[in-house]
Parts: sequence; structure tokens; C-alpha cells
Amino acid sequence: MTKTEMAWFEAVAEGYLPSSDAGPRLLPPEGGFASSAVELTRASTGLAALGLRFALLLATLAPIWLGGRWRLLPSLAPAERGVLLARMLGHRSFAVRELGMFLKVATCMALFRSDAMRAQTHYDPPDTSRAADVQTRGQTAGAGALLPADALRPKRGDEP
Amino acid sequence: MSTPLEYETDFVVVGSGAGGATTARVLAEAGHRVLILEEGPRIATDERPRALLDAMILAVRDAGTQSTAASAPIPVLQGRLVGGSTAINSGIIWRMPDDVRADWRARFGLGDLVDERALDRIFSQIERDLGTSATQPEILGGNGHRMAEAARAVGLTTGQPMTRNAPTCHGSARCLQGCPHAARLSMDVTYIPMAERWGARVEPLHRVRRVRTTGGVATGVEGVVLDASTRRPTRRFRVEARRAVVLAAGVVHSPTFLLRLGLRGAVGRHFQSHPGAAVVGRFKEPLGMGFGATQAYEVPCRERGYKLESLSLPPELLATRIPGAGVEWQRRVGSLDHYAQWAAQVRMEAHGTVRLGWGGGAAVRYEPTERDVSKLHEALVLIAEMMFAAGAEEVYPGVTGVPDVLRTKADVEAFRNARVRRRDLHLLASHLFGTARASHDPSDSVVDPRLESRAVRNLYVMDGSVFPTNLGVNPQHSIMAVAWRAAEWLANK
Repeated sequence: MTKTEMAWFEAVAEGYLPSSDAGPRLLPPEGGFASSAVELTRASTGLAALGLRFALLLATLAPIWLGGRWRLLPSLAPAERGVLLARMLGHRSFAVRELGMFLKVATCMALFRSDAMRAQTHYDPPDTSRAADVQTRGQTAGAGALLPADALRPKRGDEP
Repeated sequence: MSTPLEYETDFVVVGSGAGGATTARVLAEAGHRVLILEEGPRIATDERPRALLDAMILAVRDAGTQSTAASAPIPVLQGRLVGGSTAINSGIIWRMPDDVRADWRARFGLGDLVDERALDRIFSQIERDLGTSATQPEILGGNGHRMAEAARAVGLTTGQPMTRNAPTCHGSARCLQGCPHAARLSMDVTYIPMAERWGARVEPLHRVRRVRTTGGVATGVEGVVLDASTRRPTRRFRVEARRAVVLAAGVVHSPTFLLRLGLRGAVGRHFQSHPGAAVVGRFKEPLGMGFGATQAYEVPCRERGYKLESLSLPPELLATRIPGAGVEWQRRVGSLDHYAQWAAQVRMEAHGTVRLGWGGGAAVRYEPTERDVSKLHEALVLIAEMMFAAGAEEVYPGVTGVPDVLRTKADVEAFRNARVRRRDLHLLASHLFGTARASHDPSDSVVDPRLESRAVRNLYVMDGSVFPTNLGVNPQHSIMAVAWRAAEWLANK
């Protein structure tokens, strides 16, 4: 991805979380969200990488072909970007919908890669002792006979 | 690249998932020298990332972007790591249904392969080895519990906690990323280490490019070793296999080795799947999808051709399933603990193909039929009904042409009466079958009933590719049992 495309991706991410008081606030990690998109395209099939870049282009040009305004997506306010991105997802063309959805998946992967962003969604249980209780009970179940010696020791990075 | 690495063994097994690991286990236990080649890395338990993107890049083929090539692509998820897809699936264990065994015996002459007594013995052994048991109530999580309530509320009587190979499950809801506790007893923590204890050798990051043959007999394989971080080829390797080559690279990739040998006929044909889609519901009170087994509760509806399953996706994918973008989406995403998600997997009748694509990779063509789409539509409507019966405030069907948000039973009726086409659905395919079909009929099969290639001696296929039909249930257990049965024959040949 080029630097311009990376900037477009950041603009899309802002369009998904445009408000400062309606849900998770945008907390870009050091280096921004776009590095995630770069990594995703590198690991994807060639066709998928091309598809993501085309989806970005389509989103960037959405104010023109979808909104009837001679502007690019990054030049709009984040809330306006969100409206256009939502319209892409519900577009009558299957290809536009799919590209919009692919862009949404890539954006969500980038957004919630950060622990700070993830914490704002309340997805993870606040009380990790439930998991710990189950772990204690589970380890007595006796099915670990085949596991490597270290398989049941606590692992770093398991809990938020 | 410098001089090729050379290996010499009795059996070389290509792939380390359900079929490959089981085959290796049986052959190694019988005292044979076994070399297992896996294209992906070997990932230690404490190296499994929580973030989905990192996990997908590390452990899923093409970071999850592999898809069918038809006019409406369907993503096809496959693990690419030691343990194969067993290391990223939900560990759901189902024995092969009796009606499938009867069908295979009658139509495909596979009575010996799926002999009832033999399979009972093998299933029981696998279940002991993998500690299979019903998901315990503490692990159902809010998502699974709510689905159980919903099933009862609409009068579905077949609902049950899933039987899984995760007896020490901690409820981390991280099956897809790779269990951080090794609590799901996938192949990388069971049959692979077991085979190694019996002398088998595992070589990760070894991408096999072709099967070597001499005079119509398989003699080994060759390929390239990949760099652990860049995944670029660093060195060639060559394996001489004195007894046999076993392909267990999965339904998409096993046939590509056969196609590269110039084999045609039924190779790559009869690709089948259980594509699915999901419905999300928002509840007033928190359910806590982040705790519990990734998949915990199921409602088999076999006579209708589908199965409903609770599905606790990581937040990245759950957020994707919430409709729209912008402020309203942001508001909803701020409380991901209030959602449930239940999926429908359909035993589709469609058959597709796997062919060699650009650059020698695999190209999958697969298009569900109208009846398949109709069954899925019916299942999604049923899930929407269940959601409201369980107290959902909003339901997101994820189907184009139907409102993004359903709020009343009348909305559900409108969903039922909507005309839903293939292109209105977002599908995902994870259970794959066919492409190297086993049968007694040489004109429409790739391998014989003992899973040896009809065209190349000493070349075997032991994974879901050999299944002549799909199952209607999760396939891991059946793949393992069929591979086990055939590996026993091979070990004694």
C-alpha cells in the first residue's frame, strides 16, 4: 500500500468511529491503524490484496459516485464519512457491498487490535476470576495426559 | 537456494491436521518411520495472539482471505499451522451419522472403510485420547445459555451443549485464534506429540510442491522450506518415501498435488461444504460473549438439512456483524457484551470444483443452489424468532434486502416472506468435503475404498477430500476415524 492509501485507510477508520461521546473513542496506536491494513494485504491472496486496495479507492471516491459531491472521503467530516460507508454496505450492487464489507472487516481488525480500543467495547469479561475458577476445575478433569509438560501453565497475554 | 535438504523415511505425510496427524499417529505407533510435512509454523501455546489479525496472519491460510472463485465468493477458512484446522476450530466432535455410513456403503461401496464395529472402536479411542465431553454449564457462557433458553422457548427439542475435545476449557472464547491454554486437544497438542514420541518427525514451514513418481509409483515429494517470518522460500527439500506418500493437505490443496501429476477424471470434482451465516441479537442485559466456549450450544435440525450453533466470535468479527458504520454503529459497538450470535450451517446439495489456478495454486468454484439458499433462509428466520423469544431488543439478520435491524415479530414475518437470493447473503465455508472422492466405481473416484490413488501406486489421500458426500455434522471426528481406519490397513500392508 502507498502512503496515500494508508492515509485513506485512516480516514475510513475515523469514519467508523466519528463521535467523541457515542461509544468507543478512536485511540490510534503508535503508527496509526494503517499498518494493520498493510500487514493484512501482505498476508492475503493477491486477489484479496487488490480487492482491499480497490475497496479503499471506492470508499475514497464515494462522495463523488455515491454522494454527488466533488470531494474525497478524507476531506469530509468523520460523521459524513460514516454515512457514506454505511451506504456502501447496503448498496444494490453485490460487488460494492462485498468490497464495503471487506473494508469493514479490515477496519475492525485494525481498530480492535489495540487493547485500549478493545477495552472500550466491554467485550471481555470484567471479572476474570470466573475463568480462573473454571481453570482450576478443568485441570482436574484428567484429560491432559497427552499434553506437553508446559501446556497447562498460565500463559502471558491471556487476559485483558 | 543452496543444495536441497534430503530426507528419507518410510511414510511421508503431507499436512498435519485431522487426517495427517491421525495417519502419522497410527503409522508411528505401528513402528514405521514417519515424516510429517506442514506448510505452516509450529506455534507454541504462549505464542498465540489474542488479536484476530495477528492470529489470522500467523495461523490461517492467506490470513482468511482464501475464497471460492464463483460470481459470489465465499471465504474458505483453513488452518495453516502444525495441527491444521483442528488448531483453529471450535473442537466440535460428532461421530459420522448412521445414515451417512449407510449411504456410503450402498452407493460408494465403502462398507469396509466405514464398518460399524471398526468405526465404533476407533471413535471410542479418539474420544478417550481427546477427552471429548459435553460442554459443561459453566463454560456455555451467556451466548450459549441464551441459545439454550431460546431453543426451549420456540419448542425445539434437539438442543444440547456441544460435545467438544476441550475437557479443560477455560472459556476464553479464543478457539479461532488458537487456544491460549492448549485446553482444546487439537492435533498439535495430542496426536502430533504422540507420534513424535513414537519416533515420527515433524517439519513445519515445509511447503510441498509436487509428488515424485517413478513408473507410476509414488516415491516421495519435493518442495521448499519457508522462512519463519517472511514465509518466502529459503531452501529446497526432497523426501524419499520407501513405503508411501500420504496426502492430507485438506480438501482444497490435496487435489492440487494430483492435478500437478497430470491426473484428471474425478480429481477436484464433487467439492462440497456446509456454508453458514449468522444472525446477531442485541439484548437489554449483558450476556458477556467474551466468556465461554467459542461454540457451546447447538440445535441439530437434521431433517431440515441444517444445524444451529452458538458462535462467540472475537470482537473484531462481532463488530463487523453489527450493521452500518458511523455514529450509530459506534454506539452499538460500545457495548459488545450485550450481543448474542447464532449461526446456521447448511448441508448444501451443491457440488463445486477445485482446479489449478494462477501460479499453480488452488481455484475453488462453488455455487449454492436455490434450494440451498432457501434452506439457509429458513434457518436464519428461525434464529431471528429464537432471538426474540429469548428477549432480544434488536436482531440483525445480515441479509441484503431485509431491514438491517428487526425489532418486532412482524419484522421477522417480513424476513420470512422476503425473497432471498444467494447474493443477499454473507456466507462462510469451513467444513469441506470431496475433490478426491473414494468409491468402488473407478469412473467417478480418485482413490479406491482403501484410499490409495487409482492412478499412482503408493499414493494415498487421507483427509476430507475422500468423502464422497458431506455429512451434515462437524467433520473432524469422521475425518480422523476414516484416516485411522485406512492408516491401519496401510501400516499392515
